[in-house]
Amino acid sequence: MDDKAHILKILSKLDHEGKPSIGTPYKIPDNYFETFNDRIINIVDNKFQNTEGHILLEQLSKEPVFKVPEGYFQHFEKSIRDKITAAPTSGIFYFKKWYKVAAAAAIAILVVLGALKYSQTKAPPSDLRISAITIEDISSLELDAFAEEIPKSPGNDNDKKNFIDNNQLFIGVSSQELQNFLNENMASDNDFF
Amino acid sequence: MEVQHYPDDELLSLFRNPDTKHSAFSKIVNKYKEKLYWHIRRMVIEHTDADDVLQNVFIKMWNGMAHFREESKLYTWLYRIASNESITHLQKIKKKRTFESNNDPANSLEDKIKADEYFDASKLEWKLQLAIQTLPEQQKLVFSLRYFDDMPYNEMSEVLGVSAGALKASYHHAAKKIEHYILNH
Repeated sequence: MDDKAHILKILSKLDHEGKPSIGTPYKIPDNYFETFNDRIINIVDNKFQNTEGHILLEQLSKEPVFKVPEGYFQHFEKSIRDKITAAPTSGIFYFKKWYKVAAAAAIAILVVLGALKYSQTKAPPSDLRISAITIEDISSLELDAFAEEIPKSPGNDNDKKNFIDNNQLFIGVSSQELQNFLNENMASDNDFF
Repeated sequence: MEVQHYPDDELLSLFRNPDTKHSAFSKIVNKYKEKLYWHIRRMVIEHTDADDVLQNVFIKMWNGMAHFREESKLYTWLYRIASNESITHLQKIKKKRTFESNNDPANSLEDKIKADEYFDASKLEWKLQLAIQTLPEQQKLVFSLRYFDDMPYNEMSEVLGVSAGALKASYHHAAKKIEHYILNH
């Protein structure tokens, strides 16, 4: 019997005894194939997907983790309605504000008139300019204070102001990462900004 | 039993009629209070803060409705007010904390989450809340609208006044940061 035949005979004997077969001399851990599916799923779950679908996030429940006091939503509508009906009417509100502005304007006019009269009689023209600047400053401060007190009405032009800044959206994102995103999504900068 | 809500355009016309204004307002509040509450709560974390902000949203809606232009949807307008008010509230807190101490405001929101009586560090959903606090406020808004409210990018664009493409890129990176946090903490 040549060497080759001898080896095959031994291997064949081993195979019958439950030892590795001819083509698979390597050992594998117990239950390797039985547990393969579960292990590969775990690996995939932990990988970030480079698309809209973020597998890890998609697995999480979106149910709120925070709790709300019992009956909060049932009573909310009534409490907000009570607040609105108890609030002063907008007419009175604006009257109060305009009253303040009218008083400030009246004082400003008196000061301007006084300054003009003074400049016509005694003061050199440069003093008038100084007075006018000072008055302008005072009245703009008053107006600023007034503007801050006006309730913002989001349905009008105030609401059109954007409170989101594009740069703020990408804090911590490198230009390389952004470029990669654009390349992956076959888009250009113009689509984004 | 699920409550049937009126369509927004119907609610708006009811609101504009003086005879039905109050009932329309109640209907709008009931239709949107829970959605807006959760949107706000995820931003400001504490219930008392969320309640204050939510009340402001509806008071502003009441005051501003007369000037509301219908090129914008009621739904996106309310989300816009809620988002704006939430950011304003967080900035007020940040200013207050900066004035009082040198604590990092982001940590303060993290602390608030950990102080919640139902907080469970072993649960991924809580870890997600902590991860969200690592994002800058405006990224947090984008993530929240997309992930929790499933808002389409074109509607988010109306709410936030930013192009849909920029929002998509911002969400992508926010989600990436969040996944990285969850996998490493």
